[in-house]
Amino acid sequence: MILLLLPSLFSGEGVGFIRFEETAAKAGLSFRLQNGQSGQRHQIETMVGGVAALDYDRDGRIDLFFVNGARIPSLLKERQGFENRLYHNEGNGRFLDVTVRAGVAGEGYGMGVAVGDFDNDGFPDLYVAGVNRNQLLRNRGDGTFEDVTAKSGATGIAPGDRKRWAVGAGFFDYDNDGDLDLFVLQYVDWQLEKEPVCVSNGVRAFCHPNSYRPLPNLLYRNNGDGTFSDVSETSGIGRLPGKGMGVAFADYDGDGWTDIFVSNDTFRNFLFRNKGDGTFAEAAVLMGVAFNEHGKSMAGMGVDFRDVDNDGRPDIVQTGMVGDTFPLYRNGVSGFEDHTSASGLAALTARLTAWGVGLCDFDNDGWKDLFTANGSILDNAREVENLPDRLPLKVFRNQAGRFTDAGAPGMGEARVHRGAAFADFDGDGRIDVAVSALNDVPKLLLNRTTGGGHWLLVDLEGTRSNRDGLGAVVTVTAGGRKFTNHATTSVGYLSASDRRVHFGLGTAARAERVEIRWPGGGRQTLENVAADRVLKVKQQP
Amino acid sequence: MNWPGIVYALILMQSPQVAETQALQAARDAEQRGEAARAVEIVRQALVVNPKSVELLKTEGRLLLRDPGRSAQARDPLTKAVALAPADGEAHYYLSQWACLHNMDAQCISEARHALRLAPGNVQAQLQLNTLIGLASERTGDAAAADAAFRASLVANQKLGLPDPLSAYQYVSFLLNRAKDAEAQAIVLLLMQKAPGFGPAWLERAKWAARKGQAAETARMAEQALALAGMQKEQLRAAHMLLARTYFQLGREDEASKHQAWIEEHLN
Repeated sequence: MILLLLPSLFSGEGVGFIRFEETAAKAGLSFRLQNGQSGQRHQIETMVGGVAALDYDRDGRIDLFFVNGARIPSLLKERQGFENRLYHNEGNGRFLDVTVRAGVAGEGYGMGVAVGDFDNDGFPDLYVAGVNRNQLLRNRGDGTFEDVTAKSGATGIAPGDRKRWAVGAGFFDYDNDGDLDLFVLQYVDWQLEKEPVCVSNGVRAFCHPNSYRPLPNLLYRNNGDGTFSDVSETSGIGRLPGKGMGVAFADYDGDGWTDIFVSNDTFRNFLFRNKGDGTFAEAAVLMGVAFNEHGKSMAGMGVDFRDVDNDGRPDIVQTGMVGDTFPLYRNGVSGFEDHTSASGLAALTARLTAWGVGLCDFDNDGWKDLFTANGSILDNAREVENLPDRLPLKVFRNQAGRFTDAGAPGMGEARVHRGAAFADFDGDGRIDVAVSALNDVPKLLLNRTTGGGHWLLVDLEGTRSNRDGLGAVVTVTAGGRKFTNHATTSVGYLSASDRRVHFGLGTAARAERVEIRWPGGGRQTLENVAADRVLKVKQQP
Repeated sequence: MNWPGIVYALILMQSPQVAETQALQAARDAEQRGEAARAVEIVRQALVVNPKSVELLKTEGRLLLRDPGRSAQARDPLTKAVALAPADGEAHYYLSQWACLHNMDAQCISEARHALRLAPGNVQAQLQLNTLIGLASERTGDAAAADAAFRASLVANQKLGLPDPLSAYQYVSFLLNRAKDAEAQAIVLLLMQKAPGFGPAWLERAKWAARKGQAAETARMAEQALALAGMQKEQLRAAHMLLARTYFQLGREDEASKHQAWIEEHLN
């Protein structure tokens, strides 16, 4: 009798016990992320690879795309096994490999992926960032994609330069003109033939990022006719070299223009404030997010940029390496404050190295929890530093702004995890996670939280704004509480998540009010909205 | 062979005990001259003659521990020293240091506890060893053990008049990471009083004042932290960050700009 009562002690009303079921094998996800490991510890080997959650055929079910590496030294996908993979969600728990039919196997040594409907035709397109090749893959809407990289001009090669190492990218509408622009995230100036040899404790190891020169990022403006213009220089984005590992978008100052946060590796972070005139001002130092409160530039990896404390302003969470602690920068009235210790994250993350990251309300209690995809940088970490290379996944439960280890079961064994994409793959209103792992098969974690709260998934369709609605800020009032989130696909490390905007509503079965602030202006309000459903909202003309 | 080498070869021709004493002295001299590699070489040569000298093994281990590029090599001599002299607390202490440095947390804790048992009345040892136990326990996730060890270290530190502010500051960091602000601030205040030249304490007090919205106090504390930061890049940057923001809040924009400019000039 006492045992039977125990779950209620932990769950409470509208508060679930977060748990997952790892279903990748059952779902048919046979993809294997291959870094082409050479034994030479080339820097690119430890950095792959991204995951995308997207509904490429608009059947209402979220599909999966995995980026893959290539053979070294050729950096070509010379044999089967190095292809990127697209899986169609069949809706019965199974995914079908449609890579060949879709034409998305890819070229070159891939790294990360961005998702966005750049041509506003209603079908999400893909941008694959890589070491020696970036690819813009336009979704034709018939289940196939065409490579429009050259035609579009979004090659990832700056004028007068050669192809540099891009690790990720993100779609957003920086000029609020109704079509999606493209930010390309670049890491360091790396060339295989110039790879330095690095030894740690007498053992060959991956080099410290200080061994390489930083690179500026790229910004492409969408011309609205299928082509892009490189505005890196004129916008100011390309003037600052960094070592980008993660990019996320949010309007941190509420001025209606989407801003950019770049997580840099052992290099100060960038916060590009969108001035609304086509240019950006780098404001990370002024806003208190360039360094952590100890004045340290950490080994920044993935990032998510969302409202953690339900005050309506987007906050920033970054992952890093063991010893860093993962900073939480809380967006305050006059800038951000390092809230890592006070939130409990300092103690929880001090011994972790993480890449993928996402702020999602896994138990639908109205507070966004933190997921981190953990794994060592070094594949020989045990030999070099007596640390494990395989690490378990973690979920930190958000309880009114304080985090605790959710101890979520069902996330599978420890692996060298990398990218993570977040979406409701099985359509039950609970956010699931797809995770890549180095030289391993992926994980598909279906959320099996019991006793969770009500939810709402807002599916936006822009008419004057970009069709995906990326950049739209959605505020839901339910049960007297206010929740804020925004539409973005750029989440975590080299990965893309579902663009739909998820809300946990706790015990509220209805939302009194759903307010959408569209990018480029215009507000739309819905009242008395029933919960536990996908709410489709088309922008009023 | 150079002149010191000839002298040393002569030393080695003497009895093992004499060779040990003289090798240790020669190694100390080399170390004091900043020739750590030479010191290790001297000790290793002496160990060829006297391979079971616990003092030589400990010295080799200690010297290697201080060399980041070769610290992994300290394991062998220190393990040998502990095996030869299981009641030698110093050997256990060095081995504990090695283990802690190389993420062997369980071994770090067990060796440090062993050393503690061998030095019951040694307050200095209690200070250092409990700090090691605290750090390693924190890494293993045993917060209760870490807290107890850091507390014991602080007690020992206070008995000696707080000569080791860095050890006390490790406890402050531990407490802050667990959002135990009040307990952390009590130690910070103690540090400011007993070790007023220790910059990190002033910086932590400045951060605390900032969290409380006490701008003037923040500025005062951060200025002091800045003055004490010396060449510590991150401490300097953290102090400038606080000062830029605080002066901006206070409307003293010229001063804010000065600190902002420093940060911009020292970004990486």
